Amino acid sequence: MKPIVQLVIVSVCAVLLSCNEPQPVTTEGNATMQLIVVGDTSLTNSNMSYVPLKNAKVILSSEYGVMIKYTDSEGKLILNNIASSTYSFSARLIHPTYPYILLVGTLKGKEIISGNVYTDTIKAVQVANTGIAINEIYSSGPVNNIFFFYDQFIELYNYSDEVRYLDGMSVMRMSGNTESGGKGPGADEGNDGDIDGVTYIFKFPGIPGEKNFPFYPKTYKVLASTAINHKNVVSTSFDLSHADWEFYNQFSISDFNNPDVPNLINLRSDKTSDFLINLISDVIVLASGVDSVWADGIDISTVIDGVQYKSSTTSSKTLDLRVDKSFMLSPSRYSGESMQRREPGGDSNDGISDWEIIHVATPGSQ
Amino acid sequence: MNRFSKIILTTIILSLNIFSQFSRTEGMGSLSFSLVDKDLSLSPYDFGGNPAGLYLDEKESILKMGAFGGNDWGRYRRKYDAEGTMNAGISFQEIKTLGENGTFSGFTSYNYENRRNYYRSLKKDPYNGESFFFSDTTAADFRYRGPSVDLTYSWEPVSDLNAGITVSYQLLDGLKKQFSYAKTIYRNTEIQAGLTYTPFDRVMIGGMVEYFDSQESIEASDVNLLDVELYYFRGDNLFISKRSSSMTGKIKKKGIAFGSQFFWDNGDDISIGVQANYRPSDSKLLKPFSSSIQTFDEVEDSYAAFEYSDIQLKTQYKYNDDILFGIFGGYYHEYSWSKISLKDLLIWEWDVKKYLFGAGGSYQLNSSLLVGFEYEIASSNADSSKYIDNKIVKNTSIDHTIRAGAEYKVCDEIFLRAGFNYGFMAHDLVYGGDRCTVKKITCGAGFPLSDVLSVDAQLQYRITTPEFPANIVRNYINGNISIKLTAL
Repeated sequence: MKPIVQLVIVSVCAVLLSCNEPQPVTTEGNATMQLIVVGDTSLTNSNMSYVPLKNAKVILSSEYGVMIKYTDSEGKLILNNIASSTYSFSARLIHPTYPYILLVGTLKGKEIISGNVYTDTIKAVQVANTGIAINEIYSSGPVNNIFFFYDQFIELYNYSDEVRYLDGMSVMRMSGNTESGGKGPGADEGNDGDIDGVTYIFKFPGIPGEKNFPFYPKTYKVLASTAINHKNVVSTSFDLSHADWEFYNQFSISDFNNPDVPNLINLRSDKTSDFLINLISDVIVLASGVDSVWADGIDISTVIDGVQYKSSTTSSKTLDLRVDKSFMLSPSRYSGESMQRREPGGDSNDGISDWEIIHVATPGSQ
Repeated sequence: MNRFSKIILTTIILSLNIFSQFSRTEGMGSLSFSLVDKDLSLSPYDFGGNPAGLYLDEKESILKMGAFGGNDWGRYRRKYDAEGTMNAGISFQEIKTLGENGTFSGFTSYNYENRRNYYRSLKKDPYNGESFFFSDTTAADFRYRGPSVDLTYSWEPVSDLNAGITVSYQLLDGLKKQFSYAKTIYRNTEIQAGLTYTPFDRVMIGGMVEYFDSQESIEASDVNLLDVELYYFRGDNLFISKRSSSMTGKIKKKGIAFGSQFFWDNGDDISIGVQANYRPSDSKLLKPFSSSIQTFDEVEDSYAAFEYSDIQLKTQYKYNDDILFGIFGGYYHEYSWSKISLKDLLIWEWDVKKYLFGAGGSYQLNSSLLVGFEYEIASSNADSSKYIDNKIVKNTSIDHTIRAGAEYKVCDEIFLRAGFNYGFMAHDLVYGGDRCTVKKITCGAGFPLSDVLSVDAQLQYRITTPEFPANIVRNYINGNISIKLTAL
C-alpha cells in the first residue's frame, strides 16, 4: 500500500476517534446533605423557642421529583448519596402541644453538587391560621375521548378547631393580566397590594361577616362546576349531584342548576359561561369577599388561600409570592387524576411541597 | 454489563434469522469450529468478516431466497423487556462472480418484529449499555418493520492482494400500539473496507476498517386527548418527567471498528486463523430543552462511550479423511461509561472481560453419517459501577457449553440434521439469573429440487432456566428456510 494511502486512512481514523468526549472524573450520586430541623414552639411573639423537631416530615423536591423523609429523634436528617440538582427542602410538623398549629420551614434553591457534603438548618415557624384552605382541585377531566371535563370541582377544608362561615366569600379563576408586559395571572400588577387577572369570580350568598353558612371544623365542602351525576355521561366520571355547593352562572342561558344544591353566583355579568377552569394550568383563589371590586385586582389581605397549578416546572409562575411561594404540578389532561394537599388543609404557602397528584379524585374526603 | 452479552446474543439471532447463512451447522446443534463447512471456513470473509475475502470465498454465482421467523416468551426477563417477541422476514441474496473483475454480493431483507407488552421503553434497544432509558407510562405492543440492504464488492487489484468494500443500510419504523403511541424511525448505515494480502504461500493477512452511524428518532404524540408523559431515566431509579401534547427524543450512535486477521495452513492437515478487533463507539440522547428564557430543539442530555476489543483463535486439524479436530479460543473486553452531559458527571461505568476456550471434533462414521461434538468453557468478570444508583456490583461466571450434532445422508444430496446443546451459567450476565441451564434442540434438512435448485432449512428451540429466580423460564424458537439457485 502506498504511504499516502496509509496516511489518509490513519488520518481519517484519528479524526473519527477524536470525536469521543472525555470521561468525567467526578461521579454522580455522591453528595451528602445534613439537615437539622428546628421549630418555634412558643406561643408568644417575644420569646421564640426553637427546639429540634423529631420525626418531622421533610419533603425534597428537585428535577427528579419529590422524596419524603423524616428527621430522627434529634431533629436531624442525613441524606447520603443524593444526586446533583437544585433542591428545595420543606419541613413540617404538627405542633407537639397544639395540634391545630402547623410548624413549617423551607430551604429553597439549594444547589447540591456531587462529591460535596452540605450542612444546613431549617427553621420552622408557625404558619398563619386562616382556617380554610383549598384542599383539592380536580380539573383534568375523566378518562374519555369526547373532550369531557365538565365534572370539575374544588374542595375546601376547615382545618381549624372553630366553625367558620362562608358568607360572602368568593372563588376566582385568574387567567387574565396577560397583556404584553404584564406580570401574568395572579401577579401584583403595579405593586399596589392586590392580585390581578380575575377571569371568573363567583361568590357564596350573603355578606362577609354574616353567619348563615357554617363550615364546621375538620369537614370538607365540595364546590362543583355542575352538580349532577356525571357518570351518566362518562362512566369514569363522578357523581357530584350531592355536592355541597354548585357554581351557577345566572347570566347564562344554558348553565344547568341543580335545585337541591345551593349556588355560588357569578359577579361578572360579561361572563356567560359556567365556572370552568383550565385542565392543566390555572390560578385559583379563595377570598373573604371583603374586596369585591375585581376589576382593579383583589386585595391580598382579603385572600384566604390561592394556588397555581402548571403542567411544567419550566413555565413561569405568576401568582404573587405572598399568596403562594411556588406552584403545584398538574396531572395530564383527561387522566382522571386530581391535585390534593398532602395533609388535609396543610397549607405552608408552598404549593410544590403542600400538594400532590392523586390518581383518583376524592370529592368530600382526603 | 449487559451490552456485552447483548452483542453476543444479537449476533447469534442475526446470524440465525436475518442472514440465514448457517442453516447446515445451526441444524446440527450450532456446531461452530469442529467441522468443515462452506460458510464457516477459516477464511477472512467467514471468520473475520473481511469483505476483501469475498472474492476468495465465493467461486460460484448463486441466488438465495429465504424466509425466517422466531418467537420468544416467558417470565424470565428484565424490566424493560417485552413479554415476548415475534419476528419474521424474507431475504434475498445474490452472489455474482465476475471472473477477474471480482465478485459481487447483494443482500436485502424485510424484517418485521412485534414486541408483546413491551414494558414502557420507547428505545429500540433499552439494554445497549447506556445508562439512559427513555420510557412512557404504559406497557403495550411495539411493532418494528423495515428493509435492510447490504452490498459487497471484492476484487483483486494486484496479484495476491484483494480488496473489498461493504455498504449496509437498514431502516425501521416502529409504532407503539397504545398510549403514548410513540413512533420511531431507526436508520443504521455502515461502510466497511478491507484488504487481504498473501505475502507467502499458505499465509494470508487481512485488515479492515468500518464506520457505522445510527439514529433513532422517537416521537410520542397521543392521537387522543391525553398529554404524553415521558420519563428520561438516568440510571435505574432517577428520572426527569416531562409532559406535553407531543414529545420527541433522539438517540445517535456512531463508531469505528478496526479488524485484522491472520491465516496459515500447512497445505495438508492443519489450518489456523487469528483475528483481533477493536471497536470504539459512542451514543447520545438528545432531547428538546426549554426554559422561561430559552428554547432549543435538541440538547445532549446524556452520553455513553464504549470500547470493545477481542482476539479470537480458531484452528482445525484433519487427523484423517474421517476425523477433524477443532479448537477455539477467545478473549473479549468491553468497557463503557455514561455521563450526564450538562453536569459532566459520571453516572455509570462498567468493565467486562470474558475468556473462552473450546475444543471438539467431528467424525464421519460412514458414508452416510457425520457426527460432531464441541465443549466450551468461558470465564466472565463483570464490574458494574452504577454511581448514580449507589450500586457497585462485581459478577463472575464460569459457563460451560456442550454441543452435539449429526448429519445423515439419506440418499444422494438429501440430508437430515439434528443437534443438542446443554449449557450451564453460574451467573447469567444478560438476564441476571443465577445457576442457569440452557438447553437447545435443533433439526434441519437439505435437499435438491432440481439440478440447480436446493433447499436448506433449520428449526431450533431453546429454553433457559435459572435456579434463582425460581420457577421462571425463557423460551426461544426460531427457524429459517432458504432456496438456493446455482448458476449452471
